[in-house]
Amino acid sequence: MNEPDQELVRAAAAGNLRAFEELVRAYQGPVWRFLCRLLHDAALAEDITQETFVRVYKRLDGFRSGSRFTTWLFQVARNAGIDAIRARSRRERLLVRYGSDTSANPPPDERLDLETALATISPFLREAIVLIEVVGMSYEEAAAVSRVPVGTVKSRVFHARRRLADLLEDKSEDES
Amino acid sequence: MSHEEVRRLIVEFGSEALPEAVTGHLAECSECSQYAARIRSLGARLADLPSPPDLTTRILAGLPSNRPLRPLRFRLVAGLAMGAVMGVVLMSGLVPQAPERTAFAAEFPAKLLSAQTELGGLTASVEILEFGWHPEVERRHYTGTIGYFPPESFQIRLDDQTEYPSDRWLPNDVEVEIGPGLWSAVGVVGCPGELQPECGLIRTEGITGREPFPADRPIPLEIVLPFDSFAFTTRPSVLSVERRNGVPAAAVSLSYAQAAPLVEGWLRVGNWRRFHPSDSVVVWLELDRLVPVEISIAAGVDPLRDVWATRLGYDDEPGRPLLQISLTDLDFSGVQPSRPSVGSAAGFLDGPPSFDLQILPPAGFEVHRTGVAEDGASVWSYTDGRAWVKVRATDQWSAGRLFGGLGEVVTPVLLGTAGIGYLGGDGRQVGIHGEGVEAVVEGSVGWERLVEFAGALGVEGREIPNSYPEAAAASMEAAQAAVPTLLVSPAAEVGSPSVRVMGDTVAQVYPGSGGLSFVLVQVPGESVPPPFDPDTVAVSLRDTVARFTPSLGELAWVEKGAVVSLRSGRLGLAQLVELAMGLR
Repeated sequence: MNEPDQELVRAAAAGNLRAFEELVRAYQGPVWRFLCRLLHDAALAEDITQETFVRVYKRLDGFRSGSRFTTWLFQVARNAGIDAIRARSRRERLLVRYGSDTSANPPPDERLDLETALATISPFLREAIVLIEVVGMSYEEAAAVSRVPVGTVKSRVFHARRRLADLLEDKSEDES
Repeated sequence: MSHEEVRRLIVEFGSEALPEAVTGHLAECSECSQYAARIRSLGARLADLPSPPDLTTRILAGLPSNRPLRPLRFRLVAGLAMGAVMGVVLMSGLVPQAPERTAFAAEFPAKLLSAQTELGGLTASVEILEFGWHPEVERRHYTGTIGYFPPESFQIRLDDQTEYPSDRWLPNDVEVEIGPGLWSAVGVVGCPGELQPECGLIRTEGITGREPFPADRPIPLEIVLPFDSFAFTTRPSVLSVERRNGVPAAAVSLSYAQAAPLVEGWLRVGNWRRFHPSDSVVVWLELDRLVPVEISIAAGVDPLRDVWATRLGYDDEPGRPLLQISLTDLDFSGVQPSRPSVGSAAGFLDGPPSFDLQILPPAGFEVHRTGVAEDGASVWSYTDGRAWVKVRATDQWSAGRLFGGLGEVVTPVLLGTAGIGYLGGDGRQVGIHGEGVEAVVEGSVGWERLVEFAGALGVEGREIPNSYPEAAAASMEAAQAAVPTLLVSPAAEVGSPSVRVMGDTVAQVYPGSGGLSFVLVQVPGESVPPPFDPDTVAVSLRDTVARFTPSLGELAWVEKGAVVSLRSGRLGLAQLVELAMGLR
């Protein structure tokens, strides 16, 4: 992933809105794609992309020059995304408690497409495979974003691929 | 190798090349081969997402206004401070330039000149979003059309689609019709927000007998090509080059002060929200013809902007979108608009001028209209597409100063073999003091071509008498000799200054793109005059305390035995401070 010009980051940190806007324009797409797959909800991904950049804006002063901006940006996006997943889980638990209909967990006989398959694997596996396959990060970059060893990312991507392949195999068998 | 072992390796390698042992197995095992295909397609399927939405406006609109900032480049002095002060960093050169951005920026000045002679007309659909006009009407929405037919016909129609709280609010519908010599407009009269909705009034105006390209109610040519907003731009700040509103376009970032001629071209008629000089503007220019296909204005950062906004009843946070104008369905053939209805006469009589000049118009330009203006001046105008030049001349002049309202600070210029002329401080007019004839030329071709054209009027320019106020015009060398500690500005987007020296007082007038012009004066003295404006604030800069007088748009301080005054009718405090900090 390409790093922005350090001068641009410094200008944004100094309060230059045009510089910050430039960062938004450059990175909103990758952040939205990451969140879209992580949250499997395009509208929610828009909200959390906005939340990500608001958090970045608030904390830019604390960003250490010399660090990788993209790593930090995706750490913020990941944390905002996980917060959203937790908030959704709480809401879904409440909805279940009050007898509302929720389709967060599809019934076993429902045919699985990629979207649904992705939603059924753990957020940590999902995060790892999305960083590698959707955002295009290296294992090292993804490890820095998730704050885990590189081996853990490799393991998560391995399990995510196998789980998704199995789920999609089930689907194709159902269709046949 | 077992199926299990092969599948483990397939998953591990993902889309990378598989070991030979695995590929050999796959050649003979259809089940494992299908499994491998499934794994290998995962990446592409995961990455297969629709185009990301553009959330820029939404993100900037949602930013908080109270982020703690790094140490400031200047501060209001304690006790006089109003609101937080934010440092402003000029963007020029900060944005990493992709090749297409660099190419566009490099070619821009030449393209600006050529594009306007190539523009054969324009019709387009318009959509406008206006935010924060009134607390009860947060967002207003307009649709409409524009039509331009060179050189002097223009039409704007805007229908206000806003749902107002009640029918007591007048929709801000706008209708403007301009033709050669004619101007008419129907729109709501501007009215302060706190008096809404009762104060609404629709005004219908009609004027006939207008001089070609007059300064009063000018034809809004900036809408089709913003020449004036970039008149002194040598390298624009290009943010992006991509498709916008269906056409290839470049996004250029500029301040509201610079974009004022463009924005005000749109909003001259009707009742619109107002903008602060510090507000930021992004203009998307169509790549070939430089038509502004989108204009976005967002609230800027300035120590006094909050005060200004509060007075007008605006709740603007920095970065908040204020206005967006989009042009779509661009058609460059141009449609002749209908002729406006008659109205009051402005006094210009089309026909032969009252005396002859042997004018040689610029190459490619053709005579447009000639005649006699209400003030008795003879007028010749020439056009080429959107570009125009105009000569006003008189043989009845005894006012003891240069004809044409150039201002007192001018720059003498050589007119080739035609003697001497005087370039006005704003860089947009050239005056000539001839034998029995006074003339002034102006137009949309840049100051260098204006000087060239002034040398082709058939009038020999003479030096002005010492009794003329403009006679104090001097070279920069003379000014430096008079004041050894002379400060000069290296600011971008401005041209070379016109200089006036009166003893040891020096005034420099810097011409700028759009509204970026400013005046820098150095007068011997040890203190700035007492303040008279209750809104005066003190600002710490250049190791001293400066005074900003909002009603004058003036920043003044004492430096090396001189009172330094930096003044502009368009710039805000933050921009003046930035200029002051850059003086050398």
